[in-house]
Amino acid sequence: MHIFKRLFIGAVYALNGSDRYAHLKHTFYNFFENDQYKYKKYVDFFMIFLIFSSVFILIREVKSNVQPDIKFFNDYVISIVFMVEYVVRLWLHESVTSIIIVQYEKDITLSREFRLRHALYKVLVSKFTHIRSISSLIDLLAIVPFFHELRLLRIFILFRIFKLFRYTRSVKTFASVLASKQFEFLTLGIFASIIVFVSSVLVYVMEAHNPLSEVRTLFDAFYWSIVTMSTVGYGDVVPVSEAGRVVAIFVILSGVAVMAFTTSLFVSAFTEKIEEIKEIKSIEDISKLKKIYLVCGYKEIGRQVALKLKNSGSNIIVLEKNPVHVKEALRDGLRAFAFDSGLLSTYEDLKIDFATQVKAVLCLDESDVENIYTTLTVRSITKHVEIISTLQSKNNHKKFEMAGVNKIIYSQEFIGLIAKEYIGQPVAFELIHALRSATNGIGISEILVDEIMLRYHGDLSEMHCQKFKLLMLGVYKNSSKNFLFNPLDNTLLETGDLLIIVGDYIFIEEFKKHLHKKGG
Amino acid sequence: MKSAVIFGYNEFALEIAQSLKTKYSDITLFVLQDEDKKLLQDRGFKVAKFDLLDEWSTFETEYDLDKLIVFCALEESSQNIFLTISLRATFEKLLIIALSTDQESGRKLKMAGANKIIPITQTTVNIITEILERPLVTEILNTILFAENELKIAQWSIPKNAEFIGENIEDVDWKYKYGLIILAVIRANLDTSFIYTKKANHEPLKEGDILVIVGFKYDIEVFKSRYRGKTL
Repeated sequence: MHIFKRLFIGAVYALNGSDRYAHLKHTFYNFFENDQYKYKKYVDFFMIFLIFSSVFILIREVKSNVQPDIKFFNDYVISIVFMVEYVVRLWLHESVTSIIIVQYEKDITLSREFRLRHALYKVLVSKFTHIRSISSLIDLLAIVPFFHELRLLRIFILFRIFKLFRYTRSVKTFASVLASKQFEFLTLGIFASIIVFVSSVLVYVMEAHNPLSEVRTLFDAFYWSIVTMSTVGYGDVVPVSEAGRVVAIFVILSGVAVMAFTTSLFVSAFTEKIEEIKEIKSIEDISKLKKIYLVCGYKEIGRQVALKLKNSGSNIIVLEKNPVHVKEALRDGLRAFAFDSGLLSTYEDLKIDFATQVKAVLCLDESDVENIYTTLTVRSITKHVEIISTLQSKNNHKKFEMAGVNKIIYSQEFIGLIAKEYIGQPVAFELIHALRSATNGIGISEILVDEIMLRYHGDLSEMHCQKFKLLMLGVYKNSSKNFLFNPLDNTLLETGDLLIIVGDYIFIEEFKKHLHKKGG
Repeated sequence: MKSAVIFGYNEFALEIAQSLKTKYSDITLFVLQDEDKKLLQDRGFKVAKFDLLDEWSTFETEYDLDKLIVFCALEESSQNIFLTISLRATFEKLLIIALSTDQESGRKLKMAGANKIIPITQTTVNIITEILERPLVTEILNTILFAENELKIAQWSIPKNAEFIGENIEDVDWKYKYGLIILAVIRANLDTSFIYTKKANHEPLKEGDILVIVGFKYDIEVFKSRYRGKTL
């Protein structure tokens, strides 16, 4: 191989393997292209600010003099920033080194000489694809005012406003919705164009020689045709001859049809896409959530658990295969997706980060098979997240343990125990049940002992929980992981201990405030 | 002899049978199908076959109705409700506990005459949410209720000879004298729900009031034997 080629390919490999280069490129990618990156929005805001400044200066220039500093800022600073942005985006579009390496390795495999020219051609094609994209063309036009000597080109500043498309998501959504009806819009466009063309020509032929008519040129006829067809009808240009008015009737009737058809197209496009748009928005919102409970399965138990957790202020995401149940979850005001919780791709699509976002995964399907499948999928992603699962058949208990479920809820056993307890001591049992579900506002609560509390109240006798009509059931000692039932008044407390209190929730809240006050 | 009858062949029925073993010497599972009967017999259970249209009058000859407890745990809600109402129609005083899958069937079972409803879904939901939101409280409550350990909950009817009759509940030194916590009291003359200890201060204790006590097994035993009071 030619020495130049050898050196070149060596350099390409070195660059491709360089961590610093990869890191640099990734950083720029995050700031310019990665919508999930939390600091990208600052770059977006900065660019939007520049766009508006530029347009504001253009408007100001129309009737007043703009200071030279501001002009300089507009002509050079903003343009240079936009130029840098353009170059960076061009650079980020596909990896040049990868294209060359792929070509090189392909040639080597086929035992032929490395075709450098062919590789460079592919690079050019790839970059050109980017250059000719609409957003890239707008970027390019927005830089043009840099050459401010060409006065005519100043108007290109207006192209900067189109750059907003890149930074506002709603415009992108709007465009994507309309794109879904491309064929219909094209058909309508052709139909409308034909009518405009035919009517313009007809009116021109019939009115151009009439001295009373405003239609003097073909452009006048075209203008009249558009104004009439759009049902705007300014009335500055009107046909005066009988034949011209016949054409007007024809254009007016077609105009009504075209407008009605256009409106219905917009409406139907949005109606069809609205669910999809909402889903995309919900997926994007997930990245902002923390301490999520991932509820897998939205049958009766899944539903009630999700609603109860939601009412206590937790973040819930529901994954359910059956679209009927998903609709139900959406009606219940939850974030729900018709995704299979047993598939790895679900978590990739939703971009869920188990380490930082998920508090627990709840496998609440009515089938043990589904719950084990989901558990194994989640476990293949992370070993650390807490998984709680319901168990239907006792025979599967071991399988759940093996799959990696942290807490197995076998309600049949609980029901058995409840039955036994109920027979023995119905009143005591009812009481505990009432305390659990906090009927009449009375329930059991945990209070975490912190440093402020300890500063003011060293032991239990100084807390005076009787004043608040509360019962101190016990203290959970964090250091020894022991529960001290009915503790003595002189029990010493430490930071991290938990007080287990029974009483009215309102008084419990008051008690908490009291514990944080000096001499309370 | 205390007897228990459990209707249904499912994991709930089997778990109830399992946990009642320590308290009831005579437990019979009633099933609808012959093959279920055979399967349960092979597993060592006492089994009988029944039909929803059976007349239940023979029950009286087989069981002492005052010492009998019935669990309706059929899978089909409609069948469970029909069974409950059939039993109640025949026996006015029979203690019937029914399992319900949802709130609606729970209400119907109550109307059909069940003394106590155990809501399956609701119970499971509570267990899951409590584990997530208040793990420590859940553990403590489960220990007090279910685990075979020292800490227990008990209910106790105040006998004639209790020295604290006439005193306010707050004035008795339950903690240092008896080592107990009184969670609630049920007034003898009022057939209503419990009054929490801290709200029950305005009326002195009297004979027949029921106290709901939490304490160590030993302390509870000592306390009860002291007055030779009877548990309910």
